[in-house]
Amino acid sequence: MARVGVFVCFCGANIADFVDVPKVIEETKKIREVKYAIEYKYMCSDPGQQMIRDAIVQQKLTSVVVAACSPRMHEKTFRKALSDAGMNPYLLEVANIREHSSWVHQKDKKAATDKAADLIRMAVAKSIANEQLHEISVPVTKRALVIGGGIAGIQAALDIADARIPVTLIEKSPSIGGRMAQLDETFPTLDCSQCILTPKMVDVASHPYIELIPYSEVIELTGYVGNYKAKIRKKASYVNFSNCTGCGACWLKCPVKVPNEYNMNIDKRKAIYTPFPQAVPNKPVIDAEHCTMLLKGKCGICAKVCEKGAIDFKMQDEVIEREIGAVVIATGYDLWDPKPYEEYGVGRFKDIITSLEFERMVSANGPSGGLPLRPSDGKVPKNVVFIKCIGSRDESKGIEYCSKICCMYTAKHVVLLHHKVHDSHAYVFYMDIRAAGKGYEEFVKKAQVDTAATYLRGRVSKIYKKGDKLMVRGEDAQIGQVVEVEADLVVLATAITAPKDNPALARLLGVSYDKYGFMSEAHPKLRPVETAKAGIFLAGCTQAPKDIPDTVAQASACAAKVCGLFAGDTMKKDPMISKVNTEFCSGCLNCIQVCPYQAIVEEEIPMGHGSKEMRTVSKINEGVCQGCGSCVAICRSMAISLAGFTDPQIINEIVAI
Amino acid sequence: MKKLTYFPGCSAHGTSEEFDHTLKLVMKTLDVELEDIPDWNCCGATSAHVMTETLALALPLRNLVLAEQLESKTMGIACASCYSRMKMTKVQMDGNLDLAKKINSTIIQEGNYKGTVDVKSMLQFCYEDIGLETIRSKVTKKLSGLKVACYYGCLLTRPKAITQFDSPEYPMSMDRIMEALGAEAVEFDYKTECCGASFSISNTDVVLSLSGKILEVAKESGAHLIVVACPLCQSNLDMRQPDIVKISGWKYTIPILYFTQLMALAFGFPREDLRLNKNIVPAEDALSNIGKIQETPQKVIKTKKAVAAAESEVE
Amino acid sequence: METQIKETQGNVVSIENPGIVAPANWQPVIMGILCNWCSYAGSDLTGTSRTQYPPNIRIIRVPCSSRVDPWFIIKSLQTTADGVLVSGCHPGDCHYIAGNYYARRRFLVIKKLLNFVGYHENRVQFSWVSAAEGPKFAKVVQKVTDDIKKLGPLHKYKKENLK
Repeated sequence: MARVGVFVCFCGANIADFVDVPKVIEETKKIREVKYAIEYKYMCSDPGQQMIRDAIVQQKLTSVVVAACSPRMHEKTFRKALSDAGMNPYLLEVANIREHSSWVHQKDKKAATDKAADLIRMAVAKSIANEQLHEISVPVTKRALVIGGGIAGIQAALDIADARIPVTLIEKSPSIGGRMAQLDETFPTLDCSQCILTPKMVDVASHPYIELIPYSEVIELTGYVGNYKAKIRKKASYVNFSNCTGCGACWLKCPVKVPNEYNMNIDKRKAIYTPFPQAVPNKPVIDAEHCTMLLKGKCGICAKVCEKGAIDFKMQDEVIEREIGAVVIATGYDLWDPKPYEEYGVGRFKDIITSLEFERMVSANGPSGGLPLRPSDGKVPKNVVFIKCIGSRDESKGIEYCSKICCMYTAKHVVLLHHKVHDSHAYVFYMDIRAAGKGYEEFVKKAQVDTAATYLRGRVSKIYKKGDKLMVRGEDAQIGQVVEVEADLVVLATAITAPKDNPALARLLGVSYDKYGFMSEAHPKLRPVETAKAGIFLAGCTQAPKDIPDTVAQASACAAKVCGLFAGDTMKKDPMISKVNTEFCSGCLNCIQVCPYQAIVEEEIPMGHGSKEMRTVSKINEGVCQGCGSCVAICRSMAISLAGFTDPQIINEIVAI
Repeated sequence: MKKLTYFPGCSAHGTSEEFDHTLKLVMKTLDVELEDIPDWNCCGATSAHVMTETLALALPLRNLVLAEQLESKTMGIACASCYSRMKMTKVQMDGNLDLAKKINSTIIQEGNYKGTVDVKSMLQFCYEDIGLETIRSKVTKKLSGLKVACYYGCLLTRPKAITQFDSPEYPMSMDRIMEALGAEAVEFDYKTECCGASFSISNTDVVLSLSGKILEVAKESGAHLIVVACPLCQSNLDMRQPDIVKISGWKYTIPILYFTQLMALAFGFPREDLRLNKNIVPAEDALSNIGKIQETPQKVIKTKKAVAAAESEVE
Repeated sequence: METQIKETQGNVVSIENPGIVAPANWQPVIMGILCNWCSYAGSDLTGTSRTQYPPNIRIIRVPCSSRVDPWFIIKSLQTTADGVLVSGCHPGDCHYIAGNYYARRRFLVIKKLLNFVGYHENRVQFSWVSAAEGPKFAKVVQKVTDDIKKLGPLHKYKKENLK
């Protein structure tokens, strides 16, 4: 026979003023199973909890009902009180008589009292069907997979590895470094991007806990948090890295020239190449799309000049597997293509370039040795017009969101232009200057003062050619007039967009992404690093546009999350998950269809004890199950039950009043 | 012979008489029979749509309903303003049946609107329905040596969602037609800028500055003349040009012709038939460039560059 | 659809069965089955913001609206409730990715079935209430309560009355 103890809280005056608590106690005592019922001013206080603990022992209670505030508030507190008294914490039920009664029926004390009594009856009835539950522990594979070797991936990998947790870092291009490696100097301090990035890249390559796999991509992820299995395709590089010394003889002699992605196609690279001189690993790969040996079987010069014999034209893609416990996605960003800006003559005028092209031009290791040059005639530009918000904050042509970093990098470009071409003048057309960040506003101010750049608030409506100049016509909203600027070069601050492969990757990993293709975080404010899928985390622009400091901070936060996940040998998990009673399971497998987490699999079990004939039943992976209960409701043979919300528990609640 | 329902618009019988005349010559050559909408009425531009919505929709709707009773399922419109109003009405009617019913009730004696007739500007009709191949095949006198700047104005390709024709910012359809006639269409950045349109009467200064800019850019791009497809653009650029020249102190003028005038010329009609006497800025000088073979310096540079590029590829 | 209230001498009569007349001061009982992450949190917010609503609803917490077995609805109508409200997260906002979509489909079917066997369509209602929509929850409860009050009691269908 069940022995239920009921503890009714006054919550100061919050409950007592609107619910007749003594009357509720009186009603509660009429319930057959209730052996003990008492009220107290603050049940959540220490003396209140002590009353519960004492009663559990003295009254030999089999379950406990606390009638107080919402279970979302203090369920954990009271569960702990039960534990402390030696009782299974899941034998607790909370009747929510504050949020659901006293606070919402303040004008009708009788109705509120009746309702409170009903809510307690329901909780008592449910508690009788409660079962003892125990936290689940799941083993953990302590290895993290980091996808993407830009600054986000590098930082996450280094931080995780520094905690002596092995990391597999994969990067789709031949070298890590990402977008940051393309930058010249960084705002707001103007320190050289290469100088602060390359040491980290070298650290990654030499770290004993990091396994760096360049020129590779994930093709499959199975399993669940703590126990993922990833399939990684290593693309054929046609260069045997263990033999190659990176001497460079091959790419010096290679006759095939290909537009150089690293320099935004401003100059050419060879078909066998390293993306840039500081590449890590500093080993070349052969671009199979352009190599004449691979395409037509003619040439092979690189193989002839390689003293180490590292060139292998027969190399094939290779698929490797890694068992991992957590994933960090750090795939970075793409840039918006400004083609829709036809009124600017994008695509027709060579002297309109994007900001990243400008960045490459002014970079010391860029195609023109750090000097900006007009693509049309190779002259040094004097008047340069920068136009911000190209694609971003533009619902008709581009996307709605603010790209976040363009205000800052444009200010930086104004400074860099001033440094490289002293007699130049910069004009900046802007919508707003968004310089929120440490030292950012000061940087923009200083840039404006030092360079005497003309900042014009307004949009550009038209660019046309006049001789070899570009005439930029726009609005200066502050004087309310149309202005025309004669420009040698126009630089478009194009928006950050999600990498175009993001949706495919998100589907492959089982995480969600937004309408722009950015990966979705679990909660926009309180869980900005996690995805909705346990054990998969986000770092950098793959989630939303951000600058380098924010990216690095988020990458380190990912590392903290991964380290937290791996802190013990097993992971603790809430026991309120589904379970299949194979006796009843008819093997219809409808549950597999509705499970949003792919937590249910088929299983073959003997027809009967010792029988050789097998039948199919479903099996729930308790590591993956999140306890939504979809499978329970779909199960025709009532073989599945969800701990904490079983059919008997809920039916008891329904019939209690 | 293919039939086309033709909506001339009020200017065809007035300021753009030469457009209407040459259009008919050209269409005849192209085996298209123009059938006027019987008892057509004003499209409502440019004042109805700023006064009342019902009137702005009812006027074009009546023309659409009348056009539906004719054989052709396409209505060709000479004037860009008429085209804009007609197309706008059609899109709104087709997208909102309740509104269509309501507006239709005001002109019920003409019949019910069914939405069976497509609305096209004559430029669009030439480009899409007739096609460059057919146009090229009818050319008897190539316009080689003539450099033209094609000016579309604001309404022929905009708004994009309504017109669904060509690029709204840098259209090329008229350029392609001109190339089919043998002329050279120069790169012209002002091809969709506003000419000032109906401010021509009420605020002429605005027209002088806006149209002046268009003329200036066209001249700088090396064009001998400007080709248009809209009567209002033509009258602003042509009629106001003497004033513009006076204010700016230019030493040059630039004639403004309809694309159909040049088509008629290329199709072999004598110059008298072009009604060039209707143009305020004389076009004879510009047209005398036809047949003169000119060395285009730009192309030479291009080839030199291409050679250099090819050489570097080889090396 | 506007419901015609049936009355006998000022007392509401069950819309499904004219033989059942509500006693004076009759108050319906409504079973509210709410998902933990959106609607239950929303109902808590209604409390914290002290928005008042009729006291007829009795709330049952489930993890997700997809946990709601049609059985729960039928059992409620058979035994204790005059009406049922099921509420989940807004489409697209499900804490468990897609549970509320299953719930929505299942609910359409159960609603048709209940209509077929003779229940008025307003007896069982479904809503989307997010964790931020405290006032909306109060409105939903008000509407459901008003609807059920018009439909009258359901006693005849209750088990104990079927003997």
